[in-house]
Amino acid sequence: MQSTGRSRSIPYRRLGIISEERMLKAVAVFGMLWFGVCPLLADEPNIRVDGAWMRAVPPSMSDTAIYLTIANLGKDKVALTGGKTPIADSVEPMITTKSGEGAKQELGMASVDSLEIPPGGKLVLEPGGNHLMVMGLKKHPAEGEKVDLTITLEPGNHEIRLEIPVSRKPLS
Amino acid sequence: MSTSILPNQKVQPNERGPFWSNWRIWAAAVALLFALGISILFGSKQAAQRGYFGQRLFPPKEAFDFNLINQDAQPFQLHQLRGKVVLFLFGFTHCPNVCPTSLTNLAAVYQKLEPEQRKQVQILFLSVDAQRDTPVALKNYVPWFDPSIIGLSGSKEVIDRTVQEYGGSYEIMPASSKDPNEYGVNHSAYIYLINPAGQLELLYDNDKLVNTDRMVGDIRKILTEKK
Repeated sequence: MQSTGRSRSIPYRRLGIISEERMLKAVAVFGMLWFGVCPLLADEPNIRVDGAWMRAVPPSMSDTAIYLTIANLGKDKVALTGGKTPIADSVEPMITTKSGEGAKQELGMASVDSLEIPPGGKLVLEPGGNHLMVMGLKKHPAEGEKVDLTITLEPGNHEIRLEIPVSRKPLS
Repeated sequence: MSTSILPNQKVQPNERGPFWSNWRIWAAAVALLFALGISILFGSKQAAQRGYFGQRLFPPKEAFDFNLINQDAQPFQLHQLRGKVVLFLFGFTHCPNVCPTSLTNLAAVYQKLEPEQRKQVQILFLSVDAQRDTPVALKNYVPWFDPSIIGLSGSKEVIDRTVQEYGGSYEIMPASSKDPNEYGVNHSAYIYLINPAGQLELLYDNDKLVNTDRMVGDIRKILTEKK
């Protein structure tokens, strides 16, 4: 900032508490703190996970699905980007696609990078719809067993560890 | 008319013509006809539905008698199930979400029926994945949902003809670059209820299957009506 005649009208100069140089330094330090700390604060998405479960599948199957509800309680957009479990190779968000009409309507699925949850909104993953697809099952947990699941959310590559039940049908 | 208090006041002449020239009469008549039309339209639709939860085909149409192969590698034709209510659906065994959901829901419906009624009901799962779904693959998958369910497969030609005759549709998706045996299959997910006379009578969107009680209600109704 160049010192000009007009800068005299700036209150801190008039009050003579701090020099312009110190003011600039203060602004710089505050700026560094602001941009340095804020992403760290935003690192904790304010969410709640409910009703997570993994579908029990026949031993011949190498893939299954995980269903859950994530409520975004914060003011910022949050996105579910995937997850991991020790019992499978990968966990990826999938959407159910629909093409065509009526009885000819084909259901399919497509891999997506993330599933977004708007502020105050909910992401509902449920049977037949969008889900977390579990690929390359290394073991087939029986109904009633529990498995470890870590889901990953953006911003901040934030991880949440869960222990979820294995079931044939939705938990009531 | 001499109700006027003021002298010399001109009584307004009656401007109304004959009754049919009044627009209100016409508006009322149009509204009445409209309401009548609506009630006839919906009334007949309701009559055809006859309180069924599934979408009713009226009149029921002869269901295509396919010639497929069951999970024990034996020929299987629809007419073998004459006298039973058949719940028929398409899918594939590598399907991790839609098919297990439909099969689980159908199994719940079946299990809710009385043992006597179960003898008169058969769930059939036709795999549209002719390449991977051998009878063995089907046997490892289908009965897991309920031991009574029969898995069917066949040549691509027979599968295609069957899907077409039932008004369904499917499409094999491109395989993964890593493994030519790794691919998805998009498929229609309606469930077809074939009555004991071998006629296609009710259709269900896969979303409807979760309503176990209403599905059971339809099956019981068909079983009693078609006796």
